[in-house]
Amino acid sequence: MNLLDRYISEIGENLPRKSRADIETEIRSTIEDMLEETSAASGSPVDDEMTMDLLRDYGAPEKVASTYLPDKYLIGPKLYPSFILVLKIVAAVMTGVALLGFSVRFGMSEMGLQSFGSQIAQSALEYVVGLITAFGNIVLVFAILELVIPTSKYKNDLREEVWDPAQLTKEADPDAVSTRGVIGTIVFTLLALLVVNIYPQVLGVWFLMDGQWVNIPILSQAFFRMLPWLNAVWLLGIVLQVVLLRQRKWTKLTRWFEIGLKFLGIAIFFLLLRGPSILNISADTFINVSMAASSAATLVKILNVIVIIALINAIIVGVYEISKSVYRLLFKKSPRILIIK
Amino acid sequence: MDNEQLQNTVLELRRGVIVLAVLSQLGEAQYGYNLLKLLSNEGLDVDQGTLYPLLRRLESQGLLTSFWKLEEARQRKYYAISEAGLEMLPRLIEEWTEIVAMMEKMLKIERK
Repeated sequence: MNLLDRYISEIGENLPRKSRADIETEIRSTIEDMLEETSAASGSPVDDEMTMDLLRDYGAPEKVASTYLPDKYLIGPKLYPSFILVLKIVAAVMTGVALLGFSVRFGMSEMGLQSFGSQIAQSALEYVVGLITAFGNIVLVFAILELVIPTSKYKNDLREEVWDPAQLTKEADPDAVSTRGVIGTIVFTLLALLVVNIYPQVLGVWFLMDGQWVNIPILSQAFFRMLPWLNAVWLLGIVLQVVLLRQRKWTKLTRWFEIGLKFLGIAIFFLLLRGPSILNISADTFINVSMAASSAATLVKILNVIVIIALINAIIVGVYEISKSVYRLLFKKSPRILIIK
Repeated sequence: MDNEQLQNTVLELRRGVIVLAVLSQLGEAQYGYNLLKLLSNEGLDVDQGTLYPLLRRLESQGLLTSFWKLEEARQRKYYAISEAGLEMLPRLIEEWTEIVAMMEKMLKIERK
């Protein structure tokens, strides 16, 4: 393999397979033309030194290849505003939780000045680590979205985003899809999947014992038995959101699909409500972490009532949303446009 | 003024006219290197790293067509303006003329 072959091959390594051969042949032909011209001008035959001089001018293989590649983003301009919005929400929630945690820690313990300083340092460290982890997960989710959504969609969207003040007087299109809403739903569903499947211990009761946070996981086997179904509904929900992001409009099919998913969700909540408790806690659980027996019994009752209210609430909201969607699909006609000739 | 800064600004100015220059020269099919020399002879020096990807972009946009030809024992890719390109060219020339007139007026340049 001569110098030119090696140069062309290195350029090819940095090019997409689809157009590699085409670009390689074109560059080779250009360089050979240039070498021939240089040789004719200098009156000496082409040799390695001449080739090397020319390749030096032509540029490093990676640089040459990069001129043929489109701009690539980890998170492109279209998704960036949603990315920042989600980051702000998550950062605000985490800051709130961290401040609350520190207040509880401060209020429940008798801290000396030295202990106060070390508690602040520990809280700050936990906060920063949590923020970095959340940031990494959110970047990962958005990077996947960037890969999934075709670039051409962005270009069309950017063209559509030319704002017309006349839109202010128009009625909002009930079938329009809100990009931010869809992306928010995808991100938070993915985070829910991540937490419930990989870090279920996070969903527990947190106590401060001897200056250390103790976590008691509260979810029972009854909950985890239903988890595969819950995962299926969430994953199908993500599929629906990705389809909406591509179509930019609700269709009858996506509306019925959403109704089906909501129905499945209600069925899961109903089974969770009827079956054994999804909480794996008793008064003893809290007595073991130095809580008074009466307080422990009250806390268990409160937590069980909260779960029941939350499930009933989810079922009622689900039924209401299904009824609304079915009514819209079956009885509400699209506004007609009257054409007068 | 920094010489590099001046060069970059001039390069940016010229970049805007390369599409028009390329389309105007491809009434007759040309291969990349020949087009490079053609433009250079007309006074427009374009880097091959700019020209070749541009030719591909214009081809993917349907403004150019291309074909391979074996010449002097080497494969050469020829580019020519397409029908869509021919349709667009007069409008680009019109736009260019207006830009030149506007800029001459703005910069108070008098034509001799």
